[in-house]
Amino acid sequence: MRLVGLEAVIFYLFAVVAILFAIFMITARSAVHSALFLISTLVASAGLYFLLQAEFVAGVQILIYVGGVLVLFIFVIMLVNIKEEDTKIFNRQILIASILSFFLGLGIIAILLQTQKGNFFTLVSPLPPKIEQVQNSPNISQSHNISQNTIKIGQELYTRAVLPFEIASLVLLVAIVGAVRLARERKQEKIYD
Amino acid sequence: MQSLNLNYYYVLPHIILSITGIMSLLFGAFNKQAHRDLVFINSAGLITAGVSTYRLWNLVSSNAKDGPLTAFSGMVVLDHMSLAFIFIFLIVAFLSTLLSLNFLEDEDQSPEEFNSLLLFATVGMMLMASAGDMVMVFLGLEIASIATYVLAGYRKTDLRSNESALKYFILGSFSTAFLLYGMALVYGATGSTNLETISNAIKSGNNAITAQPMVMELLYVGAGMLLVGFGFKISTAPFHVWTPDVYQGAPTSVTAFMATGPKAAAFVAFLRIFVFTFAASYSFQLHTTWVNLLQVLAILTMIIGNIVALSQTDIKRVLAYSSIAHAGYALIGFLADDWISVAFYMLTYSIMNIGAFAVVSVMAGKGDEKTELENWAGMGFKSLGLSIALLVFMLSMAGMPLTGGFMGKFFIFKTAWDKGFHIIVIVAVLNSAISVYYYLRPMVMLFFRDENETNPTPLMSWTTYVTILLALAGTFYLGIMPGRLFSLLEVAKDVLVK
Repeated sequence: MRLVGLEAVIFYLFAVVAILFAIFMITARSAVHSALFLISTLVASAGLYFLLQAEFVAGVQILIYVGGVLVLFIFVIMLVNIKEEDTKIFNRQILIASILSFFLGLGIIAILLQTQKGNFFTLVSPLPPKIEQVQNSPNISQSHNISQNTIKIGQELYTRAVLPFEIASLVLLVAIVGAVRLARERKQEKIYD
Repeated sequence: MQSLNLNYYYVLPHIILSITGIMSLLFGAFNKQAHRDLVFINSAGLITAGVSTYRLWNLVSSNAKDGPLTAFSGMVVLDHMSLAFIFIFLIVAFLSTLLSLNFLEDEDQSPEEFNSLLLFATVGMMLMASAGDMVMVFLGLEIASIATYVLAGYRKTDLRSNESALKYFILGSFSTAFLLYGMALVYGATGSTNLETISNAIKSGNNAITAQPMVMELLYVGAGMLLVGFGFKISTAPFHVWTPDVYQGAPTSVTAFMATGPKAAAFVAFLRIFVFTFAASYSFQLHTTWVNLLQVLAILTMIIGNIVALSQTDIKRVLAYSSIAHAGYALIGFLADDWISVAFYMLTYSIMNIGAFAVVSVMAGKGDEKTELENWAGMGFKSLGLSIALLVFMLSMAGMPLTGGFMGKFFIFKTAWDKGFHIIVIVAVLNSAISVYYYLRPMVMLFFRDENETNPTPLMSWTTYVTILLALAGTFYLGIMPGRLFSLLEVAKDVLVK
């Protein structure tokens, strides 16, 4: 497979961005910066998934990893001793940040107004399609905007990959038990005893 | 579409152990001071799993003509190799459960998490043994690794234990990344994660999805990454650097477990992917490449392990370097494409290592304070039984006749010699001779030095006593009468090698 045209440009853009930010992430002095660079790397690799027409994986990547990293970010701020100069990072570009967030807010309101068809306060939701409709539709991907890739993932997950899918829960169980064991303090143990 | 073949009977041992693990957690939550009860619960689970594994072994033997049993659309493969290793893991888990009681009771550590993590780690190892797909290898490895990271840091207030857990976690994740990248590249080259499909693709030279000729460079780089990843897990040189620190810092009963169980598990996955999937009958060139690479690694591992062990003064570090050297010996079995001698070797290695660590855990006392050899001066006559047990285990590791260690080494060296790997066998034998020095040094300390401090006589609970006795019995049984077990395994040989 050879990449051509715009696809190639976008691929190399995302790939270079992902690698660069990964390097920045491990060289950044502040843990907060590190976390932000990690988010950028993950978003860039989500872009690569989009390029492979795997938009489900890309969505999951952004939801879980970026969401997870945001939590990590908060924990870093809470737990790690941030030195004096590091605490000011939020105050430096307050003007730019407020302008950006103002426009972002305007954009969100504009989108909301558009989707609500003029009336902002009444919620108009389209009726969900009946089950027969879904089953009888000749091509599920067209009626619901689900790509073949996503359908394939769903099918594989519950047929061929059903055992690994179940076993992943055991991985999570072990991780939870281990995390609780290591994070629990003596005092808490005494209370429960 | 092919049948899914959801056969839960084939994963019954795994299911039994998982349920037992959850039961120990719940039992511990409702009962305070449940240390002893949990040992019984764990043992019951392990023995039940052993019985069901035995039934599966008979099933595999009776279906020998049709090849290995597969279930879950090829995710689980049951053959004699996977079941033999599952037996090894069950034995390791059983001995570790018995051994850890002393540690948990003495230091008032919570037993329910320890016991359940031990069982979950065993389930992960068993999944690796029965994996027919790279996804399963990875998941099993993750379960076993995560559980072992936590066990290594179980002594939370001890700095050495913390260091051990952190080091193990970071380097373990690092090596898992290598392994995963290797799997991704092999998938990219062959178009499948299923090991049987991969071997067919390698044989035909075509990608399984596109049916185009596969990119061989991708396959080679992927195989190399897998080699590095497994090399970390079984601690071959030059990827062995984490081993001494991690083994030294972890509580001794945990070290006994992780020096044997996860290592044997990495060996079986290594065998499955390299000896069975990248076999000579599928691609001669690929096979020659990894055999040559592995030969260099094995020689390096044996030499570095044995030479560095000579200068160690801490008994746990000595045993850590000895376990590195043993990984080198076991790798020789890979060169001869002989899984049986590797399985036999891992069994003897596991039993004598757990025995040795059991003695160390008693001698080191509460909190593993006295692991320096200097502390042991003149203790030999005070605790004669323990010292003699340690002597037996050490001699077995050095490869003394009449002990299991000798038979393990003998079978491995013999098959490799027959296949024409003469140089490496000579190197290995010379290395065994060197190793006698550091295996006997603790004995010199114990018996031929004056006592320089008033050490109390070490005390042990009956479970530790049983562990040591069982390990002794196993070492002698495998050393004097290995024939029965080996003939059992030999029957399996005709079935497996295609």
